[in-house]
Amino acid sequence: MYLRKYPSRFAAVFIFILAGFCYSAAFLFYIQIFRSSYLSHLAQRQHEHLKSIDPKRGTIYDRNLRPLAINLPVYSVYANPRMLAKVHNSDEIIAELAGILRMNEGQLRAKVSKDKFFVWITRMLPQATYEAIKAKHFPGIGFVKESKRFYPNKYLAAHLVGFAGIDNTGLDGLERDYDKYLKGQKGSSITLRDARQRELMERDYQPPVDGFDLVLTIDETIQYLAEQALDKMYHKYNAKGGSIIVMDPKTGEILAFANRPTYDLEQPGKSTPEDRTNRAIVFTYEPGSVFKIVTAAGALQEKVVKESDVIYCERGAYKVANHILHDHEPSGNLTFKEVIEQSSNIGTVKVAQRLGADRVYSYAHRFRFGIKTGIDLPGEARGYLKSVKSWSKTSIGAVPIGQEVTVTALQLVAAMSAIANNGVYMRPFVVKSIKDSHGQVINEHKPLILDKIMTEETAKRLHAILQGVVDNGTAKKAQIPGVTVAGKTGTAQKVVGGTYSHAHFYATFVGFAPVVNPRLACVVVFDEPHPVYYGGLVSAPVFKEVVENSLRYLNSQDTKEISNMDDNSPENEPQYKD
Amino acid sequence: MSLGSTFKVMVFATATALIYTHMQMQIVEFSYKSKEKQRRIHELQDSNGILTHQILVLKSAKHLGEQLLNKDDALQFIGRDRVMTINAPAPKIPARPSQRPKITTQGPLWNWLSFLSIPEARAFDN
Repeated sequence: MYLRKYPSRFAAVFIFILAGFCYSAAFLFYIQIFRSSYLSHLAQRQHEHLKSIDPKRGTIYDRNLRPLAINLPVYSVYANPRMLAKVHNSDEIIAELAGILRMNEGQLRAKVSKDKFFVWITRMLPQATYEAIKAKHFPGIGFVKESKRFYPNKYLAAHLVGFAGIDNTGLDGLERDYDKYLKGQKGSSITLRDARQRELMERDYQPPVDGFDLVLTIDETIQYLAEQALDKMYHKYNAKGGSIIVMDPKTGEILAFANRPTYDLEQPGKSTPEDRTNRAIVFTYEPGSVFKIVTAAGALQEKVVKESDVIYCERGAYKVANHILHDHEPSGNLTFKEVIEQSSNIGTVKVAQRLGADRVYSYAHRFRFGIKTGIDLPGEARGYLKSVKSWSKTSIGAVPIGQEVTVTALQLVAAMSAIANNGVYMRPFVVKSIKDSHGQVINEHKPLILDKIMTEETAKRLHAILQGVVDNGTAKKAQIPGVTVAGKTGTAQKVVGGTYSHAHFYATFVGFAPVVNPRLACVVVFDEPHPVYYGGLVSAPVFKEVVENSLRYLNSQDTKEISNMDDNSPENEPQYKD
Repeated sequence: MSLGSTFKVMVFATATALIYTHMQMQIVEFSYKSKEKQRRIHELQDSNGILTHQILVLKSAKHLGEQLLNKDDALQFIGRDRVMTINAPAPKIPARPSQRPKITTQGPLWNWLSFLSIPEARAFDN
């Protein structure tokens, strides 16, 4: 009825509604067809979030699988400055937050006053701080879970283990050198989020691949013993630096490796470059009398001299070319054994003259002086051993007694290990194996023979001479009750201003024990100890303390192993119980 | 299409839409619940990590060494000379099940009703 009465009005309304529908349909068509991909992308960005999943960085273990470096979860705190700006009590929040974090309030205020959605406040908070902030439920303040490297032993084996940075990238030591094995591969997933940005579910999950674990040859206990003993003498004698290396002479495995000064691996930022310098393999120095082991080995092997041969030591002054050589204690006739025991420079040089420059050089080279030992650590110095054609007329009076030649502490212990190991030179190494996260061995480093320098018979004769150094000679402080010890001391003048200083010395002792069936070889070097500076007085006691305790420890381990074997014997099987 | 048929189709479509919406809501609800459980697991993992750290620090050679040497700085590893070996008498090994005298039984019904000890039962099975 109304339609007939007001046709034009109905037509107008109909046309208006139709136009509305047409507009809607056209708009929908436009949105669905032309704007589809753009709007879908916007929606996807709002709802979906590509999340990167960090892998677990591999653990570094000692030889008994005790962790030296491990990753654990920690929280980092961030602010959303735009959200924080809208909060009425933001000033109070900032002040309270600064108090909890023990930060300067002004600095924190400057950080959160930026026009951004995300600003880091502090990375990797201590657990107590995280819990204190979390309990406050501050608006605009959030947390991100991260993984932090922990070093339970702090400074122990610091120069060997190294440290990783805040982003879990290795920056020093084995952490850096084995970073490609330790770091693993990142994973990812797409997370669906609701309108309030709460995570709902995940899809396209690509799991991260955890990093491989490193198993070192280091023994945590021996390392601790070595560090303690080194530290004690380092402070007692006000040394500028010090190094100690304990090695298994039969395999080349490094059991302990320490330097002073050192640093806390959990606070590397507080250390100086000097603290982080791996002196034992980087620093080279003139070894002095410890180098006489090379001359002695060569002379015995080449049958130039016998232990009982008498050498006249010129009452303390002997001219070699234009240079007059002195002994610290003038002597007359000494047997070759006594020459080494008393560390006579003149006696050793006379033996070296019989041996000849070529053979002295050859044996030094075979003991790998002047070349790298091949240890699996970067930055190893070669030391300096000049070829015979570069020798001056006085060199035959210098090189055989450890002058005009520079060495590293590692080269010394590796050379002494070769003598202990009946002339067989083993490559020193620190990484025993690489394992995946399931414990599967990926790569295993086996002991490697590099050279056979002398016969077993020569080595045994040299053992007896070096045992005499400890029993009757310059290294009496290295004696261990109930254990036979062989070794050699060295007190070398440092070159200061182009001349040998009478106030700056290197004090060295290198030896092994027990003499029969050696288990440990050890070198101890101190740089500029004072007021006492003799290797036999400063370094030998450290050797004694470390090797004595380490042998006791190893023996107790052996006893434990034997008792464990007994426990597993068939007789001790769980018995049938009534 | 008649009004009845249209109505049926609408009811069906509405019901289907409602069921679908309900299912979607259920999925979302489960997601929230699973996320909550995931959060709880992460919390437990975190506290486990903190405990692990504390344990590792406490049992580290550095900490143990400092603790023990603070109490007694002359402390040493025990030497073999201090280990006394005592020859204990050989343990008495009880007889194996096969060597045991066979358990006498009273009859099938008694056996079925009786409660043997585990060793007796094993012996009986053998």
